[in-house]
Amino acid sequence: MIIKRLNIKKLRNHSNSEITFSPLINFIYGPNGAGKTTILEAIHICSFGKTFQPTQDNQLIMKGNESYSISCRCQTDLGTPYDVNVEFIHGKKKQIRSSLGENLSSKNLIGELPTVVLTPDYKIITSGSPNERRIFVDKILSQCSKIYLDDLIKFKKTLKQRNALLSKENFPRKFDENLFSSWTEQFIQLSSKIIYKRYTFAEEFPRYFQSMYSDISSEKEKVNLRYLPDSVTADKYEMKISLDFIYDMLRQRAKEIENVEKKRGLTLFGPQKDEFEILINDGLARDIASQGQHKTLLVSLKIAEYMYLKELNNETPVILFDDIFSELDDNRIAKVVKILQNTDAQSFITTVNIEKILSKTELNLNTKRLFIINGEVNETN
Amino acid sequence: MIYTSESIERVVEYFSNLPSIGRKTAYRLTMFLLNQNSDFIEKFAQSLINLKQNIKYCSQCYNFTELDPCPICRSEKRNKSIICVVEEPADVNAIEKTNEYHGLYHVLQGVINPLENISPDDLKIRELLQRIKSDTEEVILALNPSTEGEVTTQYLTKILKPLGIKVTRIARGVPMGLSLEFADEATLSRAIQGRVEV
Ligand SMILES: [Zn+2]
Repeated sequence: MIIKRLNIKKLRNHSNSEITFSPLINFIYGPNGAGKTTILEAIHICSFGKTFQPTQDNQLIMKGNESYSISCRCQTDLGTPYDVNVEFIHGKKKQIRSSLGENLSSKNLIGELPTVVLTPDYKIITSGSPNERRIFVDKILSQCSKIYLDDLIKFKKTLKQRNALLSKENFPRKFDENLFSSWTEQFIQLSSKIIYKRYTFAEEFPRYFQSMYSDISSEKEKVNLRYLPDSVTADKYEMKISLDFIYDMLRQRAKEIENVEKKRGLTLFGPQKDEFEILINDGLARDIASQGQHKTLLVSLKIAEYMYLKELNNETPVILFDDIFSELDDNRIAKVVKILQNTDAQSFITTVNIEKILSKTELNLNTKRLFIINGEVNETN
Repeated sequence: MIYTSESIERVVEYFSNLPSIGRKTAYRLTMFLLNQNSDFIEKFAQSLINLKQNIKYCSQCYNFTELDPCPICRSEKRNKSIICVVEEPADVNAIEKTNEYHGLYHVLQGVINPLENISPDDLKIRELLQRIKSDTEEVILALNPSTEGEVTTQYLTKILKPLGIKVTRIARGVPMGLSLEFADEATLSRAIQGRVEV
């Protein structure tokens, strides 16, 4: 997918910006608070229905206005047009339209304009809790497969419902075994599908991750991403894991843990407890990686995400890098830019200091430079 | 917005309590009514009163009806050995429109939902079990493909199967996440024909 044109109205400090992009690298530069990140947020809203920042839609509307709207004109890999329109009026439900139809939900957008995002906030992927890495993996798989996305949404709902049922069972009332086992059955069915998909991911993804890390890093560390699903034992890792095998293991686990669950009033097994370990020289990156290694790991994971999506999805993703070059040294910046140019990725890179990048890299002619000041966009090529 | 008349304000208030009606629309509807003649208004008001007074639940299938039992339950033409279980009265209308189904219905009036405190006891499940007689041959489960609908289907299967009747569920031709009410007739027809035994 290539984003050709973006129109942003009343979003943060952009009152009405109409921007056309290069199909390759787009540098978005300007002082802090100028509205650079807002352009990336607008693209993200068109691909996920919401921003990557922890901001509520009400707070995204430009001061003194009642609504924001974004429209995005893209071109698919097959050359056909794909348009997205998102409009949010204060206090109302977000209106989403695309070439696929009217009155869509965010769920309908995901995967159509696949997007890889990296912001300084994403440091938690390599250094934070297992939950951050599950979110990282789920975001990739959801963009690859509508079925995974659908199963994941149902899984989360089922988990909540099963927990609600379990916590109610603490009150003195008759325990409905049929009801409990119906929820457990649904929970295990969805869990198996999610674990199976994550297994497949963990078999393929490390290859992309390793090759990106060695391209960007100047050291010779070995890195890996290892999947440790809850309740499915890893010593069977050697054999080809099947959906039935996972299902049977979860069934068995459910039986063992049932009484504890009833006592605690909580679901105590399942993919909500999965871990994806990021390893560097066979140690946990979270514990042993240096600052510099964390940064290289993160940018490698993200470019690997791009490569993985590009190969497994029907549609090539776009890349959103928000102010990440301030985090990397010159050597790594040059390498990242070179990789982006070699893969013909369409990328959107915000930076305060464009001189720093220009002096270290050789940019080809198709690169676009957009200078942003007070929510206004000026082309400076 | 404060209107100059309390009578207007009150009607606007009622309209904005209706689902998917905002204050602007409520105001437009109120203005429309103001411009109608008294005859229209009287009939309109009376029809609302009749709605509440005359409509009750059918004591057999729990669909809305003015006559108890409802026309479907009392019809001689319906096949009384098949019962199709649905969530809401609107689902009965959706399936009736397909003209593919000639058995009876049973409206559960919801699905199992622990988060909202809806347990099997809150649904018309006991009533369904009481309805099943020796001449009942098949129960079709036609619930929405939501998480809660799926679990209710599984739950009903668990308690119906031991009764020795054929239990089927409608095929999954229905697009994921779409309510039966909004599925088009062709899709629903296929789903009813292609039902599978569970
Ligand atoms: Zn009836």
